[in-house]
Amino acid sequence: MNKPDPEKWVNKYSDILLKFAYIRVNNEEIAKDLVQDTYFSALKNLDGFRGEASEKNWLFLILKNKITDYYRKKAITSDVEIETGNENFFKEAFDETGHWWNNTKPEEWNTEYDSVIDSREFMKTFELCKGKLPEIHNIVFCLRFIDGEKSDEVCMKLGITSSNYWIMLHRAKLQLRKCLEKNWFNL
Amino acid sequence: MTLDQSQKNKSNMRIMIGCKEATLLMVMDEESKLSFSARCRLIVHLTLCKFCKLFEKQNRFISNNIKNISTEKHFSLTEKENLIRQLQSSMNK
Repeated sequence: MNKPDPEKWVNKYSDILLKFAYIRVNNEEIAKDLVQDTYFSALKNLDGFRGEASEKNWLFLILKNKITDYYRKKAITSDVEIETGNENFFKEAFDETGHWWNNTKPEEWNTEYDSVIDSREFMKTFELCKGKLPEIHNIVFCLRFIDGEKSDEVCMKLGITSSNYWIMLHRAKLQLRKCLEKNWFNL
Repeated sequence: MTLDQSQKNKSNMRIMIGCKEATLLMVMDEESKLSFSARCRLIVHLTLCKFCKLFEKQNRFISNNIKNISTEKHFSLTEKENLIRQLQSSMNK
């Protein structure tokens, strides 16, 4: 690589790197730190870049590794509190016999269920609802549905059991569904 | 209750699942993780429960729409200037 040009990097790539990080960590400050770390690592490892990938792909690769490191740290530090949180969540979602409560039953949405909604306002609502997921649930959800990883890969990456994986994904889907219903479809 | 009846009740118990289990099975089914018997239980439940039938459609809607999620977060001009300055000074060390 020729002499690195931080000014060009920052102006050209910062915002797309930030968007990528933000939807995966749900926290603006952390996402910005990850982008900053990415640039510093890039400067330190200029030898690692030999022009095989584009500059942009190379930066994204570094950022992805930073996000994975961040995920691993988060997965280790969460346990008892999460379990209690999950128990309470499912108690509020279903009665003792495992059926919906009257106020948690899904309601009909005014939409084509097979459609993809292309609207800024809807995305904002989606972002808001996703932002309410507990952090570790968001991580599992992002790996599965945004990065398209399989359950075994996610469990291995985060060091979690498959039963915990399914509990978290189950809760994430229930919670998102309810939030979208309340804040978008049945406003 | 005869032995026969009690066995019948037991197998009914296994066929009939609650909405909590049914929604979990739907989430697992998106990744083709269901055994034959689990899929049967889910299908039976879905023919009887209109709420879970709705959940099925809405769950799929969420999985499809999440792929387009984006954000309007960005760096401010000042943040970018600071970042450039930090990077340049680390290069000159």
